Amino acid sequence: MGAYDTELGAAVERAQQGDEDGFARAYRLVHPGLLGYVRGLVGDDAEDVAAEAWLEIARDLGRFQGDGAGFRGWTATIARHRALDHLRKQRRSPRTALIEQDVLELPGGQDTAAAALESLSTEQALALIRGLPREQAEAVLLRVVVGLDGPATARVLGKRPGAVRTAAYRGLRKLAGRLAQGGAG
Amino acid sequence: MSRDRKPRDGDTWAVGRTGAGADDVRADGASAGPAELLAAAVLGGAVDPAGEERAVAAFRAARDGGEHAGRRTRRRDDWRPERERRRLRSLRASAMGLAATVLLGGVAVAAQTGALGSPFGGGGGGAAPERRPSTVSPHDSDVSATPLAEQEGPAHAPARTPGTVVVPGVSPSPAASGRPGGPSAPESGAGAGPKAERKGKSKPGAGADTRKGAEPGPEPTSRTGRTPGAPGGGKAGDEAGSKPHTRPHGKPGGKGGAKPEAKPHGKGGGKPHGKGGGKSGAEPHGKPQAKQKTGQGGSGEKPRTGRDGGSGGGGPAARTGAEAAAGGALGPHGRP
Repeated sequence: MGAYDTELGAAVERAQQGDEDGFARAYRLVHPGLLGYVRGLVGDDAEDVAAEAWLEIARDLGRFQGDGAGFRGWTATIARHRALDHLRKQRRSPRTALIEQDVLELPGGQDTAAAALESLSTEQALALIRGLPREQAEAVLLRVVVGLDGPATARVLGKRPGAVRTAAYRGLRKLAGRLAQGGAG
Repeated sequence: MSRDRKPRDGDTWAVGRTGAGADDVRADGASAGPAELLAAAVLGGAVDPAGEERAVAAFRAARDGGEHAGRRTRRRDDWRPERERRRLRSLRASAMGLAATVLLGGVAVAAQTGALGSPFGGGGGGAAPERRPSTVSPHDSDVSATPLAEQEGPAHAPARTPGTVVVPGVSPSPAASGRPGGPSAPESGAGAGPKAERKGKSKPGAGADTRKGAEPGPEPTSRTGRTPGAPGGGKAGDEAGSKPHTRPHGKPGGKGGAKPEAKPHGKGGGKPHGKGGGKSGAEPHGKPQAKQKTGQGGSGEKPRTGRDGGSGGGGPAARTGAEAAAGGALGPHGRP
């Protein structure tokens, strides 16, 4: 996905050879997107879930085969499993009731989604995303936040690429609509 | 990067904060798309030094513990780009293959059970008359792709029975039937085999199937009687004409519609449809099939006429493609 993927691929390869700095570099490139994705799934416990995912990633690093983009997809899959396990244990759905409230607090006077997005806080953005149907939220997060392409997103979610494309498109459209309405969507 | 991040269908949002997005979007900066803004908001520039330290410590422990060396790559761990493409392609290919198999199998079944009208006989009144025993006039020859219903002639009647496939089997069309009928018959026979046999002797080539040697195609005659379920199906088969009778008859025949691939697996010539003329639907073009069908329809039709009325219905659909071809081929034979 863009320039960083090349660097990421190189860092992962170094890490697989035993280079600690390579792993640290890979972590810095991947963690923000991973954390954002996990937040979209589990909400507040995202840091713990992401930390668990990184333990598994560090342990299974020798098994991974692929380039930088593939590493994003692989780590996203691991994170997703951890997140779903977490949800099962908590018996909680990915969305909480606070989302609507957060959404209502979006800045007013924003008549375009883009303008609204610019002043969007992390909490608000996540609340909006988590207000989407689960499939759309995941598709949006993986495409936009983690930075996976269509086929990789489909693989992580275990769905057909066409279905993922549709889900991402609808999710983004819904988000845009909600932002334009100042959260009333 | 082998992967090109250029926006693709619906990809305008495909921008990732962590360098995954399209380069042009990032370079723009000010004109970053909504996806970029969203990503930026969600990521919020998260920096987690403690988390990084923990992760690196875990990495060290795994590495020093020998967990990284000689590890087998499971399928889920293989994210190489070539493999991704292969995976998708093979999925598609296997899905198509499965669908084709199902389609053809369904056609065969439908043909055997008479759900599909014979392309020639059923063509004319395929939709409606199919069930009428006497109405079917095997006009196979006329089938020229038009609604078998018109054709209905005697040829249709026999054609109706899905299994029978317009095979001119009735009699004269030895030539026609011989060829196409053969192949299709086998198929239908193959698929519908069990059914056809039950019903009539579909397999043994009811005889109607002059074509090839009485491949299952000729069964139609035998089938005609039986296609209890087929009649309705037969009609449906007609639609199949455009789409291989997929389903109408409730029998698996419906499948035909799904894929025109119609692989002619017809045993004989590779023309798939011996069976239900309609099936040819798979080959919507019916032309080559048409030949076969005629064989089937022709052969089957005549005798069946009485019964196949119903199946004839199915035929029309199947026939569309086949009929046109078959019609021409059968011409003389199609009609009893």
